Amino acid sequence: MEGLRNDGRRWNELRRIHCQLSTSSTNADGSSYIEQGFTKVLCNVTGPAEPSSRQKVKQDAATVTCEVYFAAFSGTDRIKRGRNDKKVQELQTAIQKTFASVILTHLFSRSEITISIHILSQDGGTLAACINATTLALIDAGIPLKDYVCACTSGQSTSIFDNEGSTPDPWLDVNYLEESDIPSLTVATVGETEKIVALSMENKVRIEMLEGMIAVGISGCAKVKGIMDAEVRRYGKTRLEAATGE
Amino acid sequence: MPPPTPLSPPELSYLYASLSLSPPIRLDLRTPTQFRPLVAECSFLPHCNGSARVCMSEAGECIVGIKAEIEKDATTKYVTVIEREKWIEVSVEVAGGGASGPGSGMGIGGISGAGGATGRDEGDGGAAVWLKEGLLAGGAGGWSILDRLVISSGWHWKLYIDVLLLTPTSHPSPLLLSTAVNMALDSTYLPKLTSPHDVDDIPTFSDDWAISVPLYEPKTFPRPPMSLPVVAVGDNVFLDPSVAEVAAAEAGLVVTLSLSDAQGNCDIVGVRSMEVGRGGGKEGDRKGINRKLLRQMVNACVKEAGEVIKGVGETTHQQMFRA
Repeated sequence: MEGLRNDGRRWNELRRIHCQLSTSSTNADGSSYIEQGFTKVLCNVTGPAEPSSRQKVKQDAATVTCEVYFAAFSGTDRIKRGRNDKKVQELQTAIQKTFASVILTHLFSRSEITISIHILSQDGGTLAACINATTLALIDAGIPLKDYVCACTSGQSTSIFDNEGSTPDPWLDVNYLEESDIPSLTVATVGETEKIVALSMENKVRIEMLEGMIAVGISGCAKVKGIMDAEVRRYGKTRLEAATGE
Repeated sequence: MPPPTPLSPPELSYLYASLSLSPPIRLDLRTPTQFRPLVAECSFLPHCNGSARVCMSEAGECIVGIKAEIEKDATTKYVTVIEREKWIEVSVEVAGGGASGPGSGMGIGGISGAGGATGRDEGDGGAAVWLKEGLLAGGAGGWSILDRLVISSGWHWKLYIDVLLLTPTSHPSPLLLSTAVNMALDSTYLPKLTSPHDVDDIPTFSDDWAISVPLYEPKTFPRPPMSLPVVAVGDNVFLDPSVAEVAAAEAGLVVTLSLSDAQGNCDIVGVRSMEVGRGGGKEGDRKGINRKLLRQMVNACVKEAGEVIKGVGETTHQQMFRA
């Protein structure tokens, strides 16, 4: 069954992704900005630097710290989220754990890498956008990673069935409306290896559907990686040309 | 406390000397009334009625989102001025890299009365206070932004102005904040009312953004206010001072102005003193400002502001979704 979703996309189409590197002037060692549809996220990375407190000193590796700020104006209604908000904490932990495993932390012992993320506009797939933005900011900061970490969401419509009574294809890159309507998950992979580093799902779904959703999510990650890689190369080229004066 | 600078006493003294020359020499070779370049864009957040992002090389980055919600008047019969002032809520959040988290308590640019957090405006409540002060100041002929927020009898818009400062630990210039707020206000649109004006029922609005109403009608005056920092060293007056210049200055002011006509004339809507360094003297050795210098500082702002505010306004209008 082939139909269009409420924003006119097919089941396997991503929203428009626009990304930028080095967006911030002097603030941070690396910065990035990503738009996935109407989800807009800004990320600044500082470090590797002297840890801000003694507790964060690890003798054999760098500590990864993550701060997430939801702008009060980011949603449809104005909501202020404090630092101890459950959703903020959850996002911080998810991103921190994901990147602690992908950054080559053993190269920077006794130092700290701080990731600070500002969510400016939310329209579904917030975690995915945060992860993608962080990858770009880390690349901009020149921090060695095993590979790109790319994230994407996928959802499974549970109310629509085709003529044979089987469920249709999962939807790739769900927006806010779809996200609040159907069960969806966020999956993050390392490069093109299809190895999953983060997987998060907050709804109930029948077990048979899960594999299909993950598979579609992974294919989305590969597409996202292509887009991010193209931007990194484009940006790298302009910088190189500026540096060599060609 | 003035913003900390990495300058040593001899460096400060040298800077003080070169700034008090006639004609003065600024570190970045600007003329006394020249502003530094900035990057600005607006109308980029889909969930906001108005938004802006301004980047300055030294002061960092500032993002402003304005949201309007409809609200019932608290009392229908006796709407006092005090209640009307609550129709606008400004909040400033500082999210610096590492050391200065939100609510680090430092007043923005050391503007007097901008220290302690006040009321509901968390974090740097002080900056919220002077931003709002300039906004509420009316224009010629009793014009007030609050009148623009009236929807129908018993209903009004509540305007939430959220300022997000992404700045390093250095000195966030009042210019950065006020430029961002100015652009966001200038690009704010409110949905068009479709229900009658004089009915008490819940108002209804058109879904069509193409006929939405701008908060500040284009080509009318006054325009949204803007605050310009100015410092004085000796007899010289400098606009848009850098961190080092603030540290070397003897007196500082933040002058809030709004454009009052197309020729670029401005009305002063607020003047606040800005904390500066110790000038050429020793610590604690304050000379005070003489009246003539004070007038010179304000005059410099008034003279240059028209062009600056007009320039920012033009940039805003070029970028607006309904240009």
